[in-house]
Amino acid sequence: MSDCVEQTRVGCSIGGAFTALAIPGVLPILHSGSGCLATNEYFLSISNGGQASFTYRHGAIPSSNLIDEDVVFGGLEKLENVIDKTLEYYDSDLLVVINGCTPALIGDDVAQLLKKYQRSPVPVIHADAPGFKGSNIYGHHEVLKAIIQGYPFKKSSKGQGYKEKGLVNILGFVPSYDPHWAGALEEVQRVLEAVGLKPNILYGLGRGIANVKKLPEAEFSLVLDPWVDTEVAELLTERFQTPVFHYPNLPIGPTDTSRFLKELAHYAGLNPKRVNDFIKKSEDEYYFYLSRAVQWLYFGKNSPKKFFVVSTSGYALALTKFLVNDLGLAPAALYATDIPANPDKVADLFAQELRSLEGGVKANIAIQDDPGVVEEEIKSYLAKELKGSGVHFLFGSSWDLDLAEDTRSLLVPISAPAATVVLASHFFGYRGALNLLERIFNQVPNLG
Amino acid sequence: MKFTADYNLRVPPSRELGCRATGHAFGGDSSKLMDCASRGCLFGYDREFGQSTNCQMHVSSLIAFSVKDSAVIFHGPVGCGAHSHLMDFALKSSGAARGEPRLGARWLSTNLTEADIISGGGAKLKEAIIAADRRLRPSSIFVLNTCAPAIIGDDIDEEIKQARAEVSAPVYAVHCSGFKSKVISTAYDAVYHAILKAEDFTPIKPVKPSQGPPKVNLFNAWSMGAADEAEIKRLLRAIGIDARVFVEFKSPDQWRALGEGDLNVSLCHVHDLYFLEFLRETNGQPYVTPDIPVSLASTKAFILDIAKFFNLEKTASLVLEAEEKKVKAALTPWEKELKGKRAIIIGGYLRTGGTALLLSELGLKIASISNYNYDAFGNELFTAIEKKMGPVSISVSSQPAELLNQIKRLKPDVAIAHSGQGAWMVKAGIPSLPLFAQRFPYFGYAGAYSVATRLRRLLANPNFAKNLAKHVSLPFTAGWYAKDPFHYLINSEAETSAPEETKTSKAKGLRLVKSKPDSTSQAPAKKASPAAKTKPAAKKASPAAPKPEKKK
Repeated sequence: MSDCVEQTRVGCSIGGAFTALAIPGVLPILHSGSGCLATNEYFLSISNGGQASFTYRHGAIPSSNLIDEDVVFGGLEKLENVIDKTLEYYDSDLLVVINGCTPALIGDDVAQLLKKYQRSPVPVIHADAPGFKGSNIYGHHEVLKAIIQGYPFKKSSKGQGYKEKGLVNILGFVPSYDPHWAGALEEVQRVLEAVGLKPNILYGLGRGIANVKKLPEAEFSLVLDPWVDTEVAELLTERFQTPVFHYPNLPIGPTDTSRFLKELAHYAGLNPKRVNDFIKKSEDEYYFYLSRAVQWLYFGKNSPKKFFVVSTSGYALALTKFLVNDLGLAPAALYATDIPANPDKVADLFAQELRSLEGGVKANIAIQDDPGVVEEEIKSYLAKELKGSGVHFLFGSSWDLDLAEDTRSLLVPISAPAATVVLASHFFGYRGALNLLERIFNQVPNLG
Repeated sequence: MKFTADYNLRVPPSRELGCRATGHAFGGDSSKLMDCASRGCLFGYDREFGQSTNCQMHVSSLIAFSVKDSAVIFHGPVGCGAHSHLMDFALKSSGAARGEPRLGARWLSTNLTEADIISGGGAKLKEAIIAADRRLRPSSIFVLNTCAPAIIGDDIDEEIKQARAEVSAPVYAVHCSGFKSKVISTAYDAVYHAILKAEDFTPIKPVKPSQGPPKVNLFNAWSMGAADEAEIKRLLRAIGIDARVFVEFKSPDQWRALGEGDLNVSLCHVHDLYFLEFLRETNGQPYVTPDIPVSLASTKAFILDIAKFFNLEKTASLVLEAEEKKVKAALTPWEKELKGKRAIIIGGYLRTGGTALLLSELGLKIASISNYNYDAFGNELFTAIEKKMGPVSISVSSQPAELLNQIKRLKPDVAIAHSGQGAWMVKAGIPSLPLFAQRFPYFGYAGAYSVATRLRRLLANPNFAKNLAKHVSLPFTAGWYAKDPFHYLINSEAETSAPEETKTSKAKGLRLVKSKPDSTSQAPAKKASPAAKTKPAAKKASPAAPKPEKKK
């Protein structure tokens, strides 16, 4: 990690609470300062797609609200009381106690306290997520790992180690942080069902503790990000011997989505005809809608060719592939700003994936923790490489508004904080690419 | 009531302490609340169960960001400061509305890691200050301290002192770690403390004494819009007083002109009394603290208070009479639509109080008021409220569980809610108007007209809230709604002071909070000893309550 970072694109590890909140019926309990969750709510939800977690919102989340005297005397007694009252007043299936910096620094032994709740009708588990250990993605991992390690999974009625054919754990999403998670997961469900799989998704409408219970029974885990949830999938392998199919990103557009489905079909032994038929139908659908806009696009408009990306590792990779392979755009400077835990591995994956861009186009995604440096580099790229001329696309977050203005770029907000309202739209697959194209094309008339 | 503070302290005390003795927990009626506040007994109230609320560091950053072209450094782990984007748009639009085009929220994090927690984060802070100055060329640098470095003992004052030699912007040390205060408004004292420690506000002696009209400094805050400031300036100008607004949306260079003011006036004295008293003590600059100019009555009192200081009462009365007549004529046709509707008001105590007066002027009834916090500096306003409508049901709370429970009992027609609570109201089926939306005027006569207009439109079609309530579930069990809304309030003071007060409230609708943990409560049985009983809070309660002096 860099020393200081400017306008960072990550939240606090206690923001892992939003992963718990995305699983209906799972309620986080904060063992932290009174405002720790709010800090993240502003970043992960209100300023990011205008989304708020359903049922529970930050104000209603039980919290020990630690203050001065607790720092001196310890906060466990307070936490115990909060847990007891939560069990009494809230409808929930699972409580996840998430501790922040203060308890970690004063030495509160939360794990010890929770032993008391081993027989609680609603399981109470613990995720240790002090902010100084990492970003909201660190917290996300801690919450998922706490569930896998701490949830009292029952032995399957179908025998020890039973795996359900076709059942797939879907991983690689950080709910809330990716403002399009909810819509994207619905589309993942639709597409995977269409090719004959049964996706087991934890987050979103109609899902919940039943999906948590099914985690051990999946035939394999599907990870759709360069690094997010890879360690979670490894833990599932360790605990339940669940194998992993790792696709480097959530694909956008026909080229990458079709490749993904073919590789998935090969891995999972799916019916090739069924998969190929679905691919054909989906590509036809994509081009049907796209072709209708071509007349508009060429009617006296001059769409920019060069693009910049400042986003998460996953979206940086998926966007680059889509924009180059499907849309025929030219990459300028590309950045991943989600502070991967294993940057070398992610860099290797980027290199490997970008080697095979259509038409031999060259691209490089740099991993940069400090978006302040990104801003300087993009400005100097414009001055040096593009001689300060032209208009470009910038795929980023709402922190890039000023940069877009300074560099005459058309901003398409993709990742957190994306201060546009996102309801059910998403950028996954064939249909997601059409959503994205609407955003991209709608910017073109703003060229003036 | 007299305000006192010790400005020599390195860190200003939390508002629970000192002359304010601000409370954050109460349920009952306005008479009991005011009595309790003036005896300093609010300190004894606490909750045995809490929901996550807010952090004084957020509010501190609001002020720090609003300073023109400032840079903010969050000294802490990478996530402290994540909330900043919320302010980016608002800064640009609020600045533009004030004729001060400005940059968005510019900030750095010192990005403290586990290694820094062990070895200390001071060196990183100094580096970040220098980086902020070099990269952003800001008008000012605000260093906001967070929990982790405060616990491990980073000496931010010393690091800042060393960094000052290497940077061109002034640097301010804001001690606003979240765990230091239960009362979020402590943030205002923390930021003003940082400013007054670093800046010189002694008046620059003019070459010739000023011949112009008297000058008033008005003090603003984030929740006020450009239109609010313009309205008060307009009214003052009409009686021959020039007003300038500080400290938000101005740069430190512009603050230097503060010393030339003849009188300092808070637009909302919950925010800046700490600073005004400092300016009086050090520079002899007088101040007045009329209550927030929300409602016709309060606007009149506000302007008259200032006019009195300059012996301009007669002119002021004429102007105010004409203004009031004009706005009343505009509001009369709407009386029928608003009359008798019952409202709940949620937010900071001066704004809620002013709003209660305004709604009552518009013919509405007050179902309840929910203040985020309260202290005796609100008593003058709430006495005025009681005079007008008798004791009102009142709580001191920022807890949705309490609020939603109240809503089920009170069934108000409309809510006027602070930004944190409006969504809850709408989900519960109550159409809700924001307690502040900086785009719309709220202060003065223009504000009264604007609020009335928006209320009328809201009540004319409450379908959005009605539909939502039908389809959205609220998070608590039926058992919770069967309990008293203030079920888990505890009052450690009452354990030592007997006899207990009457248990019946003069206000209708809500039961008074019980002084002791509820032993008669419906099922299930509560634990016998709530945490606060054995906690130092209870022990500290008695000596911490100073007797505030009665005003005049």
